[in-house]
Amino acid sequence: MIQYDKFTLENGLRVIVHEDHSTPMAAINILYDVGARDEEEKRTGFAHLFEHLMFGGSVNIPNYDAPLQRVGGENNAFTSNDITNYYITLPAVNLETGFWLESDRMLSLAFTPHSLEVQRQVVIEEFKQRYLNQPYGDVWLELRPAIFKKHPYKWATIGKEIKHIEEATLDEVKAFFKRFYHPGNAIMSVTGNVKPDQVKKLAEKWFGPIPPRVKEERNLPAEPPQTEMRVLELQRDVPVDTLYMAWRMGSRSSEDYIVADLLTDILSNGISSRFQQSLIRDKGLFSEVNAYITGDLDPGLFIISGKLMEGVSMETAEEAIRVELNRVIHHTVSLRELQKVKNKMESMRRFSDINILNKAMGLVFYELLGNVDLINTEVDKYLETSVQDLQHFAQKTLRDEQLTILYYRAGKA
Amino acid sequence: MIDRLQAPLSQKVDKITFIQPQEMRLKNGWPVFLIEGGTEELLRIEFSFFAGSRFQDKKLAASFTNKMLREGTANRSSENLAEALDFYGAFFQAEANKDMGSVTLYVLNKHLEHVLPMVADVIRNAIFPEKELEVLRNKSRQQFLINEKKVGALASKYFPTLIFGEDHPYGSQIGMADFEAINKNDLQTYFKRYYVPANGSVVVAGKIPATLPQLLDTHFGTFDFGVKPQVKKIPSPSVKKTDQKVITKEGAVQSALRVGKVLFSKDHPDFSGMQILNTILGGYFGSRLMSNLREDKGYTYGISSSISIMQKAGCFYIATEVGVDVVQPAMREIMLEIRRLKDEKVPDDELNLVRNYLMGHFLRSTDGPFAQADRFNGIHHYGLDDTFYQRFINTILNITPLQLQELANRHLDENSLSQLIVGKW
Repeated sequence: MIQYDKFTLENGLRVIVHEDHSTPMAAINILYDVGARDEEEKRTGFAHLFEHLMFGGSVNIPNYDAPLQRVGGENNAFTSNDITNYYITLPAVNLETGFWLESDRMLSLAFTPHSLEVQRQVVIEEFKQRYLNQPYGDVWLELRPAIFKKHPYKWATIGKEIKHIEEATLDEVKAFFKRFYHPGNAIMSVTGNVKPDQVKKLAEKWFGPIPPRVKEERNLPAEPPQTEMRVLELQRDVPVDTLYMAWRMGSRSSEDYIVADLLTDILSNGISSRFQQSLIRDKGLFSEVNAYITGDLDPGLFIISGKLMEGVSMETAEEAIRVELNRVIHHTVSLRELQKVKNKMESMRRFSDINILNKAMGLVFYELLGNVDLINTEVDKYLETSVQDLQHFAQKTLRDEQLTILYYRAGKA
Repeated sequence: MIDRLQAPLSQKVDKITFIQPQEMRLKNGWPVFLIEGGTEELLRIEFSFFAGSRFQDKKLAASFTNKMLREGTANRSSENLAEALDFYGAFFQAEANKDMGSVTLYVLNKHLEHVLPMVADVIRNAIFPEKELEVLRNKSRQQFLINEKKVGALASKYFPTLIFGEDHPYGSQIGMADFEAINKNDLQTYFKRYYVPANGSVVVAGKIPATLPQLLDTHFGTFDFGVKPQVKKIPSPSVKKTDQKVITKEGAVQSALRVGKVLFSKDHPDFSGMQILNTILGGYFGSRLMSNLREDKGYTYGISSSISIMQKAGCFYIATEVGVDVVQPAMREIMLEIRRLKDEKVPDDELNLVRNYLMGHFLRSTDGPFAQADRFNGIHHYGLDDTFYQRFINTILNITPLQLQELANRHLDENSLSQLIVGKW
């Protein structure tokens, strides 16, 4: 049970506090409700580029990192298709330094041309390091546009192409800040060795004076239903054939999510899972094969990907996966199997709850989902899920007309 | 109006409270260290043995023995073990590095009674079945081939060999043929010799139930204590001359760079000082290498310098991946930053920032029982005691710019540094 206090400043900033006096540290997490899905199609990769710029100095503080490091703090951030998330851990006695730094960059950035030029280069190197210079690095750059035709999930967080990052201008950066970086579009959590009164005072002092702006209604094009199976073939200079299968499914808030989460665990989480036992160990068809969900805030994906053993054909590999899927479509899983993945989920959550930063990230994310209390109650939904729920989900979701399949073949590109 | 130009008052972290583990011995003599703390009813139990790769006579023996422990015992099949551990939501993690081989169990206290007998069975009676060994071989071969396509992975593989030499226990590397050569008998032999109570210890961290000592004694106190294996002395690195090695990868859009040398382990008097010097150079986000190569020039997504610490040696190295068009300028800037540490004193302001940053880092190592246990392992596995951290903290708070400059001149001579480039030069 994670106890918390929640309040909202007059300018719309929501703040959630959780006390944990077993640690000398504190964590501050600020989530901005903006991700790659909010980008213009001609300026993809912008939300992530912007995340880099948030470290390039703010209106009153030329350097973000040094003052934090000076008080023993560390920080980082990440961008997804849905959100941009910034976090700090620091000695709790120096909590106010975090408020000072975070409030100043919410107030306004410095917007220096040098920062844009450098971070543009850094992000281009990141693009190369993670997506172009890695075997299989381009899978999602290719798969996304094959699956999504209308919804902005059709591009990856890093962006569609390097050119978009090369062409970004300072005026666009300023406009992006104005649109998305303001108190009403952010959720903040503070966890660790802190007191709610202390946090409230600091929040009012540092964030209170930031002028409110109107939160924009999000109005993204819905992805139309898929009506037939799509097949994609790629050949690259990689050592091993790899198969990707992606089915459309519901969003993070839909009833699909929890059922799918449990189903993927039954299929591939741990050595006792079905894929491990059947496809890897008994049949020797794959060296690894996993089922997972994207958990996107808009309707997302149920994915299976696997690396084939040498000499195994794509057809054989795909057929074997389909045999396993038919088992969950035509039959219920055993009660013990379901209990097993529920127990694993419970255990995973308990271990994750010992970390103040995990708790800080969880609190803001559930608040964004619409109800911070889900951090404590969502587990009940897992426990209530039945073997019939799993079967219904499998029948509804794992159908060919909702499937995109990618044969990623080894060879010369 | 608040003054946003001025940083709020802050406090220096100058005192850090480490939890002293409670030491006990099981009835067979197996040493156990208990670290009490945390808010949740759960435990991490780590069984560690001096069973890392430096002890092996045949390549892969250490890592494969470790990975195969959970793949079946005389009493339970691999599948049964996996299913039962999963059913109780227990996480079983096996890890082997150059020095240690360990098995770590993460478990909710309410399932302890069910899970401990299985883990005891694994550590006592592992049988290394042929079928599961073949699965591991296949998976490892594929991973090996995939890593051959990654410039970063290739650099990490070749650099230790470049500085220690192929015949040194810290410098040897795996080839494709080794996967075929390793067999069940090798693993059984390695297991019997190294995974014995006499050759290791147990560290428990979390909310420790009163019944735990009794439970541990019941399931682990009946093992044969065994004997601590005789081990060969670690030789000096065989590489005499350092140089530059280039591994060309056609089509690479980035090159991976490594620059570094063999260094000492934690027992050397210059250890703490070198950690501080390394932090200044490339050990944190605001470091000189990051500021110069990433934040000023945009050559890379990231660059770091590290001191990887083993029980009998250390390795200082700078690691980065840079665009193929800027490899030479990047290398020049790296060498320039090393030069600056030798030629100039670190400004007080920068040094004070790093002092505070490192003290924050230390404070993090007291954040919860698992962090405390990691900290304890950091001395226990090296034959050191708590005075190591006292000295370290003392050095952080008191080292002078002159002393740092002397350290740089003593240990970072450019002629002693090897360079490795994977990609294009």
